[in-house]
Amino acid sequence: MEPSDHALMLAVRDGDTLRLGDLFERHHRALYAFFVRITGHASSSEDLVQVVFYRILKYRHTYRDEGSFTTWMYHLARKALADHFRKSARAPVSLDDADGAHEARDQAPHAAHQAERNDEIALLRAALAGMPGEQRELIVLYRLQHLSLEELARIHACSVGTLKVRIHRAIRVLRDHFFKLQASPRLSGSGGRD
Amino acid sequence: MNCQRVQDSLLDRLDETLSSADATAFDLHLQTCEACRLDYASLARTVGALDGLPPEEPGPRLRAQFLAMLDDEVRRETVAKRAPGLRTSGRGLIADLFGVRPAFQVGFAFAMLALGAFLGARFFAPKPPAAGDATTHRELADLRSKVDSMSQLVAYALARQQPDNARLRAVADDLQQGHLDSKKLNQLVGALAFDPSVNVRLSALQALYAHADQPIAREGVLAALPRERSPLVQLAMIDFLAAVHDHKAGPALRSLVQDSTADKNVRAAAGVALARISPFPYRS
Ligand SMILES: [Zn+2]
Repeated sequence: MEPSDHALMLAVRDGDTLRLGDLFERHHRALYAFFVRITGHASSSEDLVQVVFYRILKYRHTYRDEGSFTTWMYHLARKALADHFRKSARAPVSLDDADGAHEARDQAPHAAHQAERNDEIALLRAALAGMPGEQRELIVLYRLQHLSLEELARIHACSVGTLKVRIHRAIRVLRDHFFKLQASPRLSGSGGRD
Repeated sequence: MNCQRVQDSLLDRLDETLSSADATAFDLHLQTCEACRLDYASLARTVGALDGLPPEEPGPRLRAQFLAMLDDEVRRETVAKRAPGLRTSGRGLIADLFGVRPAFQVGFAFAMLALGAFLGARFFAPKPPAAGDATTHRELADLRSKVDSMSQLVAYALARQQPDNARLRAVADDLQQGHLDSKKLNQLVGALAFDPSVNVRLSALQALYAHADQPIAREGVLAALPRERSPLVQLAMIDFLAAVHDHKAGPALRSLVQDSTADKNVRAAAGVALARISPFPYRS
């Protein structure tokens, strides 16, 4: 049987440093997706993943016997993200917005279906980017990273019930943003640029 | 079920976590209440769109940087264990590293290679993406400088480990294999990038053909191309990238086309390959 994350992290803490490679293989994609969906920025997100694993290594001695690895990892990830936003003062942007990828899209009628799908993805990203940070993060962690309610409750230090209410609210806010953007003729008309 | 309970259960219904009795009651309510029905439909569309977001994949330099960091840490620990408070020579460090964990070194070699490509890209990028705060920045800069100073030593040590024919035999063995694990693939990629013998590099590339469906093989060839100086191997690599239709090869091929110091056959081949991998047909 594969060792648990927790067992691997205890091994890292107790001197088997190379086991961190296994934890990296298991989690770096999810962590990257978490960052990129919040920052909208690929290379900053890679840097942020690197920072998290650097800090895991640096602070490995503080990992506790009764700890949960994912909780701790996302705790470090949120701190790294907070540092990132505080100092760079860079608002998250939709990946596609940044380079004007929408401009020439309706010139290929045979690709109408794909274009529609791309538009939906772009709209959803824009809707996510327009949300308050805390709510966006909740949606990303719950719906896209598939963290359990229990894990999320630990990360946010609140009850599962409270968390569920917050997630409900966040998804409704996203829904409203998403439908509003769909109703508007142009994506760029809906604010939140740069 | 009344409206309030339906409102509270919308996401549970979407995730199918309601009991079957509750699900039935929920659906019954939707049939009679238009407000709840519309609410449910719009949430279902939103959640469906969320679930349909394409996966986000990091580039190869992330693993490269991580492996370099980990390797650096392990090396430091080993040195500290052996001779606390004592400085060993560069040769000693390498011996430590390779003596302790031979399999690790090739991953590391790949790491160096990808990182080299990454550092190059960063250096020439007009606007490097700002890392968040000063601490973050320092941490990353620290990592990069450590990695950079190691890379030459590693390449050297790799090359000197075995005689030419032994390395060639190792690669040739891999040629016979239908399936290779990622460690073996890493070794092939390492050989392609760092082996001083053109024969070994060509054989490694030939062995990688059978595994072109693996991202690690394609990324390895792509990362090795800019540092390759033999036109023979360059041509073979270009062939490989064109054969697998790797769109990511675009920038590397384009810079070869524009490189006036490159062999003219290589530049021409890069141009042809570029046209082949381009998602849009060239208009002349
Ligand atoms: Zn109702």
